[in-house]
Amino acid sequence: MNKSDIISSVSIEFGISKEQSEKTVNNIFFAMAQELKKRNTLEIKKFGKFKLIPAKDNINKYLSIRFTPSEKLAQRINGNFSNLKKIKPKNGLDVLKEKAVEIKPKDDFVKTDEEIPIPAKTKAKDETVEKNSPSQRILISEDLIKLHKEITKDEKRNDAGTGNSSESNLWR
Amino acid sequence: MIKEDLIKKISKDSKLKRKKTLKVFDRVIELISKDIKKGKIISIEEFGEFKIKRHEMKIQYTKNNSRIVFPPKDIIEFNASGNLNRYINSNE
Repeated sequence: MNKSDIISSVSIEFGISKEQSEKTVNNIFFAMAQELKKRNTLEIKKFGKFKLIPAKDNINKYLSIRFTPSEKLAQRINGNFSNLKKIKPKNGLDVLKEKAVEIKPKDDFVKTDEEIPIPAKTKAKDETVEKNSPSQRILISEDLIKLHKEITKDEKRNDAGTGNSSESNLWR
Repeated sequence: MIKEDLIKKISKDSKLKRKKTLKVFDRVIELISKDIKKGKIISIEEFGEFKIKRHEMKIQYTKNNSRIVFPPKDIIEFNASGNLNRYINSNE
């Protein structure tokens, strides 16, 4: 989406001429810049906040603009990873005796319960992660596989009494 | 309060009624956020660019030989254009 796309849709949706729409849209962004310069912050509800931040070495007092999206928008963007939290694995990651399985990367994420042959004893399943994002990168690495195996070993010991081991997540 | 002042200024400069400029303003923001959610890059000339950046999974090694694992994350990044940066840092 460009500014010209915005101008066209505004002109069509509000029944104003293209020149009028162009003026208005340009004025919108210019007014935002003015406000930001004046007050050092600019908050737009349900969108985000712009902030002026001084550079680290503040000799020249150069200000840069930082944008933080609103919570809902950020959650929506991070939808595929929103259930993941940072974790501290209990034991250190020792080198496992079993060889880590080589994953041949497809496009992006990989359904781990299809690709990695997890031994039948551990019932743990990895949460599947799928994503249609512009940046296509492989996120399953050997470390993650080792970590998963390490954690599921611990879980099996811990969940012996509860019996809730059918849906144990990698990330807690 | 701040939004009202913004709308006042915009409607004055664009010679458009305030109610309409408010709707236009909201619609512009809505268009941008909708496109961000679809994962598209939004580049507004002489203002800046909004795009989605992915932080990969990170394993941090701590002193006690233990590790912290940070999950991957998608964030919105805004890069202001040169003109905007110059305007912000000018002495007008």
